[in-house]
Amino acid sequence: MESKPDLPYRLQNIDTRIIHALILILILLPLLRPIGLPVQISAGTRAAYNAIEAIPAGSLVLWAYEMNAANEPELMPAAIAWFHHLMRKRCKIVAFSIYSEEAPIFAQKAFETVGKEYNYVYGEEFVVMPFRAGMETAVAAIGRDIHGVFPTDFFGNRTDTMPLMQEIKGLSDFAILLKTSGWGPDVFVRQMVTVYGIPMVANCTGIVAPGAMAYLSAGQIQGLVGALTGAAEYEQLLRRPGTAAAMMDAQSTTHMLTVILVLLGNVGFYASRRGPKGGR
Amino acid sequence: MRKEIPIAVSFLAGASIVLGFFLNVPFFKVTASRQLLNWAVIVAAFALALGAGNLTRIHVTNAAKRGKHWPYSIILLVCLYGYLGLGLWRGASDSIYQWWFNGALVPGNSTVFSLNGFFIISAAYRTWRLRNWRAALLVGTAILVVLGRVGIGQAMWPALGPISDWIMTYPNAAGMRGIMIGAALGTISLGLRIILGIERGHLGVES
Repeated sequence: MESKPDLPYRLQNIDTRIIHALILILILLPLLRPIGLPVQISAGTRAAYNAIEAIPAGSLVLWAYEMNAANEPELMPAAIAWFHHLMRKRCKIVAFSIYSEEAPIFAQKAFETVGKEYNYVYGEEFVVMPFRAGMETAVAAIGRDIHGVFPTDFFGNRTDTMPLMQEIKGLSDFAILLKTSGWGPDVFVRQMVTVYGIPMVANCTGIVAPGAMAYLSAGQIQGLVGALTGAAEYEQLLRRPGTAAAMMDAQSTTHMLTVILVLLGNVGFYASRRGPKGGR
Repeated sequence: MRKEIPIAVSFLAGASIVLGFFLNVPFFKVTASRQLLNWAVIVAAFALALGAGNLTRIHVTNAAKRGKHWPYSIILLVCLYGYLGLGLWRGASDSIYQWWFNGALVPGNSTVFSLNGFFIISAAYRTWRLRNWRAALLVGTAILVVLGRVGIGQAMWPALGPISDWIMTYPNAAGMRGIMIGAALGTISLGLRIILGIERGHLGVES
């Protein structure tokens, strides 16, 4: 008869289904009953806030709105916070996307949600451009000739008749470049920041934030809002709690679960090495 | 001529863009590079159509031959052309088009992406073992960052936030910068090889 596995073995081999069930419970519980844990503001998020705060009211803002359906839950809270910040200052926003075909829909959705509150007028204070293929080449092309790349907006309206687009002669007219995406700021640093000297602030998913830190510490970008944590920090700076703050409790509990599971696994690992059987 | 013409085109296009950055000559700085970049955007749009065509060919063949998972091929084709047709007919701002986007694509795609969280936690539990001092360093750093980035860790020990920030700003950024500079040098070298016609792999020829 097969003997029952000992405790060290079981600590190292918890059933994946139990782990997944625990994750699900620890995500759902805080969403249903928020704890309201405060988060400390990181240097990157504070720098991003300060950079946007520093631009004059009514400035032109270029926004690489590279959101897609997969990363929307992680990126939208920061994007909403940015919309609030920019619209408070009545900045004029041009949103475009090069890497995500569905991004214009998300940009328009966010604009419709937040824009109403500030009575923003489409075409005068905000415009969303259609997706353009070409990746880095397209970014370079926008830098050289934004009107040539976008003769029409996402809805097919001519951009040369829009009051907002008539104010733009070239990239140097923009006070700041914002980027929301699931990858690093490298392409925009190469093709826009370095070439035209336009300051840039980035918002990216948690998985690419460590890579983007190199650009922040080198001064190539002026701020970095990393994932949901960054969004929650930004909401605190704006003094306008949103969805990110609510979701941060769920992130806290799951991060804590990760640490507890790692500790349990290591306790089992060391116990099995020191045990009479010499481990399994 | 099948090789020489594409190499000459690569040289002229690549050299014009590079010269546009370094020379203050209007032809290179404005005309050639701007025109070429606009052309590249148009060419890239054709690549999307090529991708859709290739996807159609593969899945039509699979469905016709009752190949592996053929019902999924039919679902893919119906979704691809049905949604394309809807977009062309009603426009991207149409409420039905938006309803499908918000009701099917967004939750479906977000669900798949969110599964990462489950797999990452499960993988961390199984692989983060303190087998030696190097592994201990890695796991210790990871735990400091994992806890330092969320409220619960900062509530337990307020210094965790600044420690996590320091790890991200200095050791992490230094390592990432090394990788990026290495990749950039590789890209410059490959770009020069293509412009000068030394690298011919993209033409289907051995270099």
